[in-house]
Amino acid sequence: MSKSELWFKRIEVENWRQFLGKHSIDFSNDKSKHLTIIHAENSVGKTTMLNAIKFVLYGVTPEFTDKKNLVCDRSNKDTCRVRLNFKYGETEYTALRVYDQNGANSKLTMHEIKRQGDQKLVPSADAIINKIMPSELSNYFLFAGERYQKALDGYDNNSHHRAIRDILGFTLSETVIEDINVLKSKYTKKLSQLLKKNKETNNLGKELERLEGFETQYKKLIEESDRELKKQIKIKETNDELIKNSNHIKAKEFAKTQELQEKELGRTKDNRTGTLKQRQKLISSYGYILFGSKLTKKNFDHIKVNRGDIPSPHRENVITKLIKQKKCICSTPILPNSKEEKALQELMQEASNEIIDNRVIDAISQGDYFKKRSVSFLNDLKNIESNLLKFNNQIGSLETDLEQLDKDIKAIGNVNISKFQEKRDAAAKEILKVSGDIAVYKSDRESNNNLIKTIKRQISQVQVSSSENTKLQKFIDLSDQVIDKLTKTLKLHEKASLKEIKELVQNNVTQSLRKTREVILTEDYQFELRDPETGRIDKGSDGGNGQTLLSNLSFITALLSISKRRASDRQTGSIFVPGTISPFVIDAPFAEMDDTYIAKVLEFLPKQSHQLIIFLSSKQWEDEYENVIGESIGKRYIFINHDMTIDPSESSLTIKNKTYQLNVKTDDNKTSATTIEEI
Amino acid sequence: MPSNQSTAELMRQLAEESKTDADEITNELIDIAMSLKHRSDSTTSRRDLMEKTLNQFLINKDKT
Repeated sequence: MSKSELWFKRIEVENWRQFLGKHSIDFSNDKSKHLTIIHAENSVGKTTMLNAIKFVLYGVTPEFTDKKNLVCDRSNKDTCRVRLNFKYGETEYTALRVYDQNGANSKLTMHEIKRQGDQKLVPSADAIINKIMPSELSNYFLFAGERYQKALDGYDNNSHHRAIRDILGFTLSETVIEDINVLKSKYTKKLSQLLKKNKETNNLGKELERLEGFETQYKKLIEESDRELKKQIKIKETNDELIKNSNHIKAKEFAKTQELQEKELGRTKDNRTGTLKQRQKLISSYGYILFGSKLTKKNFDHIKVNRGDIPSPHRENVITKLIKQKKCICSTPILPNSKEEKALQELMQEASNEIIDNRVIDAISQGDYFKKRSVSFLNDLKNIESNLLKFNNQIGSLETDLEQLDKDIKAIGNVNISKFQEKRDAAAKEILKVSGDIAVYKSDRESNNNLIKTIKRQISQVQVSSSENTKLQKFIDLSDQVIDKLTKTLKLHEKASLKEIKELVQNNVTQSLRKTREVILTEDYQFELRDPETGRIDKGSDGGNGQTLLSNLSFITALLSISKRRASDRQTGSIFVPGTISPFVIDAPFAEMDDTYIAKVLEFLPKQSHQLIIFLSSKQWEDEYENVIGESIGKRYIFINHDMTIDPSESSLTIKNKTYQLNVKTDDNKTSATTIEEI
Repeated sequence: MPSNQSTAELMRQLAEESKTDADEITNELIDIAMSLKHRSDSTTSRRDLMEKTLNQFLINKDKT
């Protein structure tokens, strides 16, 4: 069993709401038959049992209207108890929460169950439970279908983001990054103190400390700005959507054009940035060619024209002429075989020997290459400049159009639309500003890091003799490598995970929904369904409650599916450890779904889940579903309703051609209103 | 032409040779974070253990 797998083994309630006395359910822990299904009439205890799990783990009962009246009326007691036995990895726990009606408070105790059956008290049980399955994850894995017909986007963005990242196994890597950063700071401080003690390295130590301080500040600034950027993007998108989905036809048209033109503007700006980079690269790679060409033209062109000249003050033709006329330009006679003629002959030989000739030829051919290449360099540069001009013109014209559209939308005169437009404008300005800030911070951070590297190099040069300094430096270097590796890997995998979740949800949605819907998944793991024809996004229950519920279930099972795979990847050395592969407990999963949707969901739920527990309304069960999920069912229960007034024949359930009565007429009010029976 | 098997072996060797110090130690650090995740006093003990592990790694590396 994977270290991250959580299995619910058994729940036992005592005097809990309509359950008088002790009642329990043993959940299936069989991997091949991992589904436990509980059939019941409405209002007989399905939601009560789901809340029993939430209560024992977190002390909350979100689905109860009356949150204080938890003790069974018929019990005449002041307390009720819920016990959950579960296994996390190889460790088995039993958690018991007792509720005292008088004080309206509850107390949790938890024990680890040892192999011999001994129990060891677990201190800080709440903290442990929250680390195994953080309470925000319970929104996903302890799923109340009736409540969550609405989209999951009702949750707070940050906790949603954190919860999903935990499920996907990213938070553990982030913990390591945070820890190593703390250790790195500790060692950097130690190193700076040591360096400051030494006269030679005093200044370097101070400088290193100062630069590391900047690094921390840049990191914080970039993180804060990134958060702000995401927030502003969301504000802009929300207001864009509000205008696009408004009833005002003109505003809708303007908003759509605005969206298209903004996309075009973004693309053109990207193209311009790419072209600027191209220009920079061209100049840095070939700029010397132009310089070389000018230089060689000035110095070597005459050689080509007047072959035989030598590239020295001793021009060959001049010397030959002097020998011929037997007289130097200073009037000194140059007689044959005289020492003057000999000196001139030697000078000639020296100046035009093979090496010099070859050098001249090389220089001339290099000059030719420079000349030719400088022509193509200038042509390339010209093309780039012309593209830049084109992009700048396009940007200018798009910006003018967008300004006009902004005015047009505001001129419509609809108060709400003007308000939305103003909000998106303010957000757009903020996005521009924050993006610029981030670029500056990143560039400054890079320069700062280069300075840190230089200082470190200098330190390593002067501190060779100090083993303590070297030790500290090695620790800091290793920390840097670990942080760098984890950060890069995280970034890469987060992108891949988004793609994978989107594909899984899209697959379920395509196979299950009657309508064609495109799944959109944002970087914050918020998902939406879009009509590919109209571009309209289904908000909340726009597409029908059944559709929303189906896509929500699909989203959660996609997460579980990836977590399961991650757990096996871990064995092959992946750094990603899924937070917790949790049981998926669903109350009324098909609340407002029709038969077709139910059958589709029943198909993908068991396949993509780990341990699946379904509390199902008897009205939503058709015996034919047995063919779809029958093979996955490991345990099966019915809740029987005991009532003094009801006609027992009113409710029954047929499973595999056998009929079960779900209502029993009871003569007194001293028996439990609901009993549980395994079938 | 090398067989598929020998190519795979070559790739494996290359990957092994190109492993950095960070590759070798990161999994160990993740294991520490995971094993202490569910302890209430985990932050301090986790960081202590990570510090020891990193230092031990450097000592072992110096020896080899």
